Amino acid sequence: MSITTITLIGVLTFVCRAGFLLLGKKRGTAEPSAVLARVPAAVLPALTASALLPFATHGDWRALAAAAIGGAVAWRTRSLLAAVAIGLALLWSLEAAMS
Amino acid sequence: MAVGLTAADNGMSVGGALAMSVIMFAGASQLAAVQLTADGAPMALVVAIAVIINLRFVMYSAALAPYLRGPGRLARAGLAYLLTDQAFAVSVARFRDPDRREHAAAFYVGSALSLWVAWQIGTVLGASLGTLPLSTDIAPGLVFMALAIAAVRARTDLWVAIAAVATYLALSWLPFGVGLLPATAVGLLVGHLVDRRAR
Repeated sequence: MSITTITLIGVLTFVCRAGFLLLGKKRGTAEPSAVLARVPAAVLPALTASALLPFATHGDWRALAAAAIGGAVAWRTRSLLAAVAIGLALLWSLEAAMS
Repeated sequence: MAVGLTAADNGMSVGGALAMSVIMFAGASQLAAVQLTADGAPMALVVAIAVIINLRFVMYSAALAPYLRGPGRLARAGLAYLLTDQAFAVSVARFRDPDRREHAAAFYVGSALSLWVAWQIGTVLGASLGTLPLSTDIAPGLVFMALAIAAVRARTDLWVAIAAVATYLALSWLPFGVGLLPATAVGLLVGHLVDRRAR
């Protein structure tokens, strides 16, 4: 990824963060806030689908099993670290067992 | 660590991963940007998706502004740079109580800055680990899934998520993850309709 892309995202992200803090204004209206509050629930599952779809189309069952277990761990524990650690550990174990 | 791991897995150096974490300092959008760039997405799409993910900071900024009006403009710019989900959550939880609003900016800086330091250390560790001969392709998917599960808090969120995923899958034939934009839009539209119906 180029430094231009990184800088552009960094600047625009800063604008999102700074808007109200720099203006020193009070809360925004309820309607846009309600829509913005739902952005993570819309974009993150779509990103999950985009990241995992290639494993499904290539029939990589080890990666899919690791993702399923990682998802179950995330659901149960709400811990990102536990989900990633257990998912990767399972994937590496399956790869080691199959090689 | 997951950001560093994914960055290294997609050919970024430890220094490049660290620069990204310092400049952007926003986990999910960093991962999305790395993933989309690796998929060959055009820069405009990478930037658009990353910024859409970070739009929630507008809401956080609006919610925190009344409590952080004391410092000058330059200091508030620094406070804005440090704004994250976690810093927002712990600060708002504290500031809701009128008796705990004293030294609000100091409390916010303490929580946000400690997270920033941990974030940069984690990035370097992850990027260093990513150079080991282990397959980490699945790491972004695991991270997005864990973040998505945490983001779905109410029944409406579940409808939003289902609509977004269904739309993305229906449009998955589009190149470079372009389907992410309409998927997000449809998810938000469904959320808006469900909210209106509930009122």
